[in-house]
Formats: sequence, structure tokens, C-alpha cells
Amino acid sequence: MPLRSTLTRDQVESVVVQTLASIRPELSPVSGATPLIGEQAVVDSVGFITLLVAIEQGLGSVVDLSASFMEQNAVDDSQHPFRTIESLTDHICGMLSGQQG
Amino acid sequence: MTFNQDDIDLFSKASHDRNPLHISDDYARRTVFGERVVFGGLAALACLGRLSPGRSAPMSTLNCEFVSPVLIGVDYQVEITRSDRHAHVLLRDGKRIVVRMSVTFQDSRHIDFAPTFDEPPTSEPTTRTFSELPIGFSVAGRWSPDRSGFVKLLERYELSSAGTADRQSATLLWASYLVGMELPGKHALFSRLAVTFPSGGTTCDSAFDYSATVTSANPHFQLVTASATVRCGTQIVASVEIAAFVREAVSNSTLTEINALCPSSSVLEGRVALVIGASRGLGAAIAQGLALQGCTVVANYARSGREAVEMRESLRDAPGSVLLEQGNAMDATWCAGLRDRLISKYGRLDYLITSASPPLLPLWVESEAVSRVVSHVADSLKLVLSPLATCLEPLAKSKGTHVLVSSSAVTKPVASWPHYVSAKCALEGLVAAASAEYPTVKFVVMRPPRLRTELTNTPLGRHGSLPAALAASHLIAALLADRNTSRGGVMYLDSFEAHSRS
Repeated sequence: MPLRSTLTRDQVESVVVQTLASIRPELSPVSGATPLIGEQAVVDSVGFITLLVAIEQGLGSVVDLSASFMEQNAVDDSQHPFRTIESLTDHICGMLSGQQG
Repeated sequence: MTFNQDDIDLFSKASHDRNPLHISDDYARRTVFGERVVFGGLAALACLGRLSPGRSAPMSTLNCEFVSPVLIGVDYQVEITRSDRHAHVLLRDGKRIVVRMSVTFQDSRHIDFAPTFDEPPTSEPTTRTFSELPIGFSVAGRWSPDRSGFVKLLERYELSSAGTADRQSATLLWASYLVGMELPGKHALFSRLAVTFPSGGTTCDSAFDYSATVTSANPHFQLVTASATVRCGTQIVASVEIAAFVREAVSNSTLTEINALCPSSSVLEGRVALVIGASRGLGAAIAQGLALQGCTVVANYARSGREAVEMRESLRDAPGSVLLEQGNAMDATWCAGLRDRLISKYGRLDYLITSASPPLLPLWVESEAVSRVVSHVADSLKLVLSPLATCLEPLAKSKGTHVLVSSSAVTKPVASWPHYVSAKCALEGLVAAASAEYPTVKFVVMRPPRLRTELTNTPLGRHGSLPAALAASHLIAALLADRNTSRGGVMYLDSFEAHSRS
């Protein structure tokens, strides 16, 4: 999906995946369905915060993911935009598109 | 691998890190952890001591993530995966990782470490809040380990024979000092440490000169990162990146908050209430709410005397009065004495609110956690059963009400809280049985969602939590509405929508 920002969806996903790999290098190859929150999450709560902060920095601080996360109503919601790599990527792309629009 | 209080004291002595989360029982008990926490740096050093003996190369890089608190007396497992140049270390409590480390080694000789031993820049931790740590904030000073403590620590964990250079071990101690005493200081929760050790150099024969600067400050998670450089004379000993959360104490609800939420009424005036666990959190908010309604409140607390006095003082001008009663509510004999004093003084008991709960740290359904789950459930039961068993007769006599503070986790269980969920389910069962035995007593089971109290005061635990004042106001409203209804039975209070005084 091309974005109106300078970043494509693939580039955003690449930042998410590479950031996760830098935090959890022992993880086997990850996919879009890799869970980031909930019982099956590949990162713990501190790791999740570290991931969000590092992704923000990896994207040049153009999105405030921390604030966005805190605005969500429930950490364990099955529809949570931060639940997987794929949904988080979509969420970031949506934030970027919103900024451009 | 286990840690005891002597280990903590030795590390504190060697590092000059006197952060009260680690060395003060009284302070630590009032945090989310409920007890003294083992220094992350100590756990990391102990793990380094488990690396294969005979490795002679010093470290090139060291990365530590302090994922969960390390606690006294828990039997941790150490997993080491290593090659000539790398090692990965996991410190586990069952399936839960508490410390994750990665190490790389360099091809160079050890550099002698023979520092001068100076007094540290500060002997008491600074009390900086998150807002006092903006990007660019910096600290600098001179540090060296305590001589005898350092030697004992190296011996205790066989660090030299495990191949860890002494000045690299000292760097870990210094990092603990920096985080626990200066940046952030008293309110720190050490999260990550990344150290790069340059190769080569000459004997380090002076104390460490250090400087550290805040490089990022995330207000949503109160997470601070800093870059630091450690020098010995003119040579750089280590380049260091740290990340630490700045813990923010959760204050009790204010009267203004409760007044704004509770209905105005004189219906409860003159009633007598006993609140177990009234010094902090929801228990304190309920005690405040009842006193504002004109109740006489006997407020029990175990050890949080300062908070209990503050709560009572806040109600000086309230229509109701507050009497503090310190004691262990798990002790049925003590509860019986309290009941007798209460009846002797006031002649009746209308409300018993059981709000006390043991500290809540994550556990899993696994063999390593069996004794801790059982212990948590047993303590939770005692905290309710002892006062309930001793107070049911006077409650029955006055056609009074018992309020159990349960949790929404009973109907929406939380993974990693098996002990908490089990305890709350057991308590609800206890209430159901008591209801059958005492038909003239009304029972109210509160099932609030996660509350904003010290019990959930973690970086993510605060997220989406409910103010204690709001939960308390719903109970007060329910008690007011319930005054004219028939006795007996169990009422479940599980809706806590935001509202304002009407």
C-alpha cells in the first residue's frame, strides 16, 4: 500500500521487524502474525515498551506510538492495533496517512 | 540460583548503591513488589560467574535486560548458550525470563584493576522525578567500589576464575550505583544496560570518573535512557547506555475526588464500619467515602502507619470519625480482640469491608510456582476469613453488610495471575457459604477492573486502570441504595462506569 508519507508499508514493516530482531535476536524468523501482546506475545511488557520506543526512533520520531498505545482502551483486546506485527504496521501506516492527510 | 538478604547487602556495600527498593524492607513493602528486590546488577554478576571457568578473554560488549524483578529466596534457573566469542544467558523463573544477557568477548589480555578507593559522590539516593530528567540532563562524578565489599563479591561469585575482568565487574557495580543513586535515583527501575569495553589499555589505578547524559525521555512510560562514559585516568574503561523507568508513587484518593463522585446523603450517619486494609488504595478510598457519609470508621492497617495517619488527618473535618487500628488481620485472635474493643466502644458493627490483599507479582501455572500460588491464596483467605469469622455475629445482630473486594479477574481471568484469580474465586465462594449461614447479613462482592493503586503500579499496569475513588464511590452509592431493601443474599457490584455526583 503506497502511503502519502515518504515511507511505504513495506518500509514500515521492515522497521518493525528489524527493531524486533534487534531486541529479540534469538527469535526465529517472524511473520506478520507474530503476536506482540497477549498470552502468546514474543515480548514481555518491558520488551514491548522497549520495542515501541525503538520503533518510534527507527521511524525518525514522526509518530508517537507510545501516546497512541496509551490511548487504547485495553491491552488484551483481540482487536488491539498493537497485537501483531501486521496490525501494528497497519496502525503506523494509518497514523502516517492521517498526518499527511 | 538463589539470592538472600546477605547477597543484597554485600552488593550494596560493594557498589555504594543504597537504593531503598533493595535495602529497605519498609520502603520496598510499600511498592508494587511488596518486598526487597534483588539488584539487577547483582543478578547479572552472578550469571557472569556461571560462565565456563577458564575463559580468559575479557568482555567486549555486555547487554543486560532486567525484564522482571528478581526476588529473595526464589530458585532461578540459569541457561547459558555460548561459543568462543559469544554467550547468551537467561535467568528464568520457570518459563518466565527475568534477566536476559548477551556477551561478546575480545582478543586481548586483561588489564589490571588496582583503583584508589574513594567515598562515593552521594550516600543517599537522589529523588528526581521524571520531569526533572529532561533530555540533556547530566551528572558526573568519581566512583570506586568499596574495597572489602568488592573483594568479597568477586570471591562470592567466583568472577575472576570465570574470566570476568575485575574492572568490568566494577563497571556493572558502578552502573547500578548510577541508576539507583543518581540517574534517575531513588525512584529508578533499572530496565536495560549496554556496555562496550574498549580493548587494550593500561592498568587502571585510580577511581572511575564518569559522566552520564539523558538521551531520551518517554513521558508515556516514564522511561529514561542515558549515555555514559567511564574513565580511569585518561583511558576510557567503558561506554555505557542505560534505560530506567522512573517509578511514580500512587497517592491515595483525595477527599476532593471522592466528594466529587459520591452522592450527598445522611443515610449512613451514625453507622459503624470496620475497614480491613484501610491505609492505601481502594480500602483507603472506601474509608474516606464512609467517613464523608457520616460513618464511624475503624480503619485497620498492618504496617503502612504513615499512610494511615495521612488518611485519618485528611478526614479531620468530615462528619464521621476515623479510629486507626494497627494489626495483622490474618490473625483471628487479634481480630476477635478488635471486634470486642469495637463493640465495647460503639455497641454495634454495621459494615465490614475486607480490602486487604497480598502483593501481586506475576506467576504462571507451572510446577516452579506451586508453593507461591498456594501461599498467596492462603494469605488472601486469611485476610478475609479471620475478620469475617469474628465479625459475622455482630453483623447479624445489626443486620449489617459485609463487602468483599474481589476483582473483575474472576470473570475475565488474567494470564500470569493464577494465584490472584484463584484467591478471589475462593473468597467469593467463602462469601456465598457465609451468606447461606447468615441470612440476615447482606453481602456485597465488588468486582472492579484493575485499579490505579500501588498493587498495579508497573509501566504497563497503570494503563487503562480505574481510579480507586471511582470504585469506592460506586460502593457508597450501592450501600445508600441498599439501606431500605431486604437483608440477606449476595449482591455483585461489577459495573464501574465513570459518573459524577448527583
